[in-house]
Amino acid sequence: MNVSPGETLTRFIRYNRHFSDSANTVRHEAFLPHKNSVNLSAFRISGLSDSEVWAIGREYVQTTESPIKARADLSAGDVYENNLKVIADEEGHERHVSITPFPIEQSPTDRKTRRAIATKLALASQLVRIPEA
Amino acid sequence: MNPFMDYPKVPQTQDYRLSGEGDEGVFDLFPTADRYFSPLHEARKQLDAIRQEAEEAYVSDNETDPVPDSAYDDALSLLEMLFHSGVSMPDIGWAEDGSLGFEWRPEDGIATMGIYGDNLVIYTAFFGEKRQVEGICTLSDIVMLVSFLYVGGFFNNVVPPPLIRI
Repeated sequence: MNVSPGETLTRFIRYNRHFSDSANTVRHEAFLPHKNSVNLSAFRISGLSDSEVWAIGREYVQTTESPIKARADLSAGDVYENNLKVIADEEGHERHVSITPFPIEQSPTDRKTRRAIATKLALASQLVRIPEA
Repeated sequence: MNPFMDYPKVPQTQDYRLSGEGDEGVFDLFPTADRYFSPLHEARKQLDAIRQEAEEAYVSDNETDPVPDSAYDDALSLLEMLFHSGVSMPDIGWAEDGSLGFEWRPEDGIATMGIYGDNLVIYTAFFGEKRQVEGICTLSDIVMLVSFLYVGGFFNNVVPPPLIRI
């Protein structure tokens, strides 16, 4: 299924050090997948209310040890501009997508490419903190 | 020769790290008081908090790699060198690929450094619309790392670093 450039995607953030409270920004580490992974997990959220978006994060992403802290919203168009694809794989949830392909980390050059992608996605994204209960 | 690619092509082993004697030589240049009454002290506290969060994530999440001790050592060395070169302290974080990261967010863009504990620093910056700087260098190449930060007037208040003997 194609994901249009105008759709909004979100990546849920479970760690305090993956965003900056003071700068109100998403840190680039939030967009760095495991070194053997070519995919970055995200969800399509266009048309959903804010509470529906957080409900997806709570149900499908957060764990007992690592609750959701925030999320990084960005447009699919920003992903496409970085020569990445958005694959609607519906893995575990009908709105799940994979941002791909990140190079597998086999050398310092691969690391450089992965970090450059993550840095650009962080710059394009918008931090949304989870509302206090 | 492209200076950004001029890094030693050696296996990523601890054998290649700077020697302990060399490290001590660097730190001896700086007053001991700086280590406790400066932004460096705050940075050390940040590193401690990062270590705790990264270790907890490694234990609970099978998609997270551990950050090696050598990465924390390299990060502290680099923070000291940046501080004494007049660079403002970065926001510090960790990633699921087992790295530590520095990040600066001036109005016009973003600059990051990645540290994996193998004596290399991976740096990337995006300024304005399309300007991009990225590369790899050794931890001791402070001139390169500081220069990259003020390409495009990122940090106008940063004075180009003096020739520090390392």
